[in-house]
Amino acid sequence: MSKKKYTSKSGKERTVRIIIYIFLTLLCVIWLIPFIYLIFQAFRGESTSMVTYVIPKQWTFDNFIFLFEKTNFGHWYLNTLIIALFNAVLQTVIVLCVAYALSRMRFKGRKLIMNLMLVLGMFPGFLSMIATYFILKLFGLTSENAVPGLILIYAASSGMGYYIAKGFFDTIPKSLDEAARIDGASRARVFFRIIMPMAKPIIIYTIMMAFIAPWGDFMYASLITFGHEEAYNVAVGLYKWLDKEHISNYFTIFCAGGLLVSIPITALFMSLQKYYVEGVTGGAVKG
Amino acid sequence: MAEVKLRNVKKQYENGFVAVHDFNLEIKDKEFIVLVGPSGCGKSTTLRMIAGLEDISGGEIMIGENVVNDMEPKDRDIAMVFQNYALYPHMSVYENIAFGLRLRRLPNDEIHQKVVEAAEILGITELLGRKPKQLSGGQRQRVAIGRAIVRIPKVFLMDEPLSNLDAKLRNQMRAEIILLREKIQTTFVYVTHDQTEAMTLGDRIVIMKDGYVMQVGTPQELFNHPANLFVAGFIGTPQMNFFDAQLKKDGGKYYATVENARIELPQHINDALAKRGSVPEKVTLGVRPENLILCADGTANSIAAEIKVTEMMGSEIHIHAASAEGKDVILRVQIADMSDEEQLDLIKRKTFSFTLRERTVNIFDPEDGRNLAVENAVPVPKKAETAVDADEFDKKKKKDKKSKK
Repeated sequence: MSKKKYTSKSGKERTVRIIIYIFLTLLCVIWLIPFIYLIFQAFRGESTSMVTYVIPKQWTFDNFIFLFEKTNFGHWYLNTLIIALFNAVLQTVIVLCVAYALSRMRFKGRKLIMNLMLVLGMFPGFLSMIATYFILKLFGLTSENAVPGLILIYAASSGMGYYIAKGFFDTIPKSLDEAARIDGASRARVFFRIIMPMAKPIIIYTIMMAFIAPWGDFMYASLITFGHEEAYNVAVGLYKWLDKEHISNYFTIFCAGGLLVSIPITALFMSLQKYYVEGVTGGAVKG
Repeated sequence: MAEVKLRNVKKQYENGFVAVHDFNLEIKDKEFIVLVGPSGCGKSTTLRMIAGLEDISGGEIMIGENVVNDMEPKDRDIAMVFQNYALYPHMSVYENIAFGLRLRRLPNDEIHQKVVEAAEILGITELLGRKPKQLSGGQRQRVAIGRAIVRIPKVFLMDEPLSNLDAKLRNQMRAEIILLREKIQTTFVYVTHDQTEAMTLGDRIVIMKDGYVMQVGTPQELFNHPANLFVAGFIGTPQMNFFDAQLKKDGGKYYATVENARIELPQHINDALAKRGSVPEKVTLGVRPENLILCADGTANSIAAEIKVTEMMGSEIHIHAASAEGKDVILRVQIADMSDEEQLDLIKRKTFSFTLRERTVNIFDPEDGRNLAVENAVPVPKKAETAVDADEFDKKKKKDKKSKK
């Protein structure tokens, strides 16, 4: 057999490859269109209403200036950032602790708790929304105090998302814990000194999930803030501008806001992407 | 440096599976004890109970003067080496060894001195800066041992530390453990399923089966006077030969007949039988392969056999044969004194006769397997359940329930 046969691809294989790449490129373009459209609209200067063309006739930063000077967008942005940051910390700690406990400790009712959380997780969150609202109202954590209220809601239910982290912890040999315990470490120290440094991918994954979820949440935020505009998060605030009476005056401003909202998530994702991919496969495949 | 006492220690899992029954043992200070047995015999569970990694369902464990039943592993002053090394992968070798000392808040220069000392004992000084994944299996095991010896614990526990190594490295590390033991005078409890390790390392060996202790004794005691049929079969390769024999008395002395051959029993068996109230007529006679001696056909009290397979091992030949009554027999023939022709002749032979080295025989009660000449011998447990561990037991239980329905 000649060497050529091993190195060059047959013509048929090449055609298939070209078709696949064309298909993928098309998919990318289709996927990017809304985002590019959003960018163009955010910088459009000639009018603030919806138009039938895509590329602006006049480029401007006015929409962004308007956002911060004439609207509550700055507040909303800050609210959302505070909620997302707090949740990223709280949820990560809770999820990792719950997952570690369920992975390592054997106690009565462990299986029951795991099954219960699985079943409860299947119900959509909004089933309990009204009840949650009244409970929060009792504590005065709605309307103008919605920010701590929302942090509480997101963090409180976060333990249920323990699956992937538990799957990851299950792949770390138990004898490491045992060796550390014999070396003189307490359970907490084993967790922080031995397990955490090895669980970097899953920590990153959990942080990202915990940050993104409240960042884009609409349902709970709109209910708990209950029309109190200063307490809105970005999703609720921006959505109000899509009302019939607002849309002609606020459309380009809405697009500018949307662009700003995407920045932190994009930045977070880009900086942690390497770990994120590792985290998903590392936890899911062997779990 | 402490005694370890286990009194009536029992381990029962929540699903009812009993892994260890009523374990009694007193380990002397600086003694090297080896727990050995087939998988699922409870040896690792026993070790983990001493370490505090498993709760004790009943009984009492003492290390030194303290009852440690409910003591955390870290307060027991023990160290343990695991089968899979269990090194902390994100720490360097140095930090791995220093971890236990750091947790005890020792000053840095003292930690450094101890880590370097331990590394020198094990010959891993040049590896201190590396991460575990950059080490070979043997080096990793050395680091794991280093991590254990650096604290100079009261008791040193090892859970099959050599079973992940290849045969050559295993022999080498075994020799190093013997040397190590002389350097750090402390109490060792060592778990293995390898009888060579058990025989070469242990001052005393504990043989276990199905959660029961079968025999505790020095390697010599176990080898020469096994307490029951299980121990006799477990220790020694090739396995001990067992014959059906009749026990008879002649002129105040006992003798056994095996396939028409008369075997005079040694004095210690005669003494032991004389002490017993009743002596069974039918017994199982055990004799090791090296104690069967080739002889000329027709020799008095010899047994004839037909050769099935011969294995040339280099310095000896193993002959697998069947006796006239159809019993499997294995002979171990030393060939150092034989010429090449004699060796070839032996390999080609179809039949042969052999006699027994009478001094070395053991006789067992075929009913419960006990050695009739060993005091307080434990009977071989009847296999009540086939499960090897708790999980398997659970599955089996569920299956039984289903089949009942």
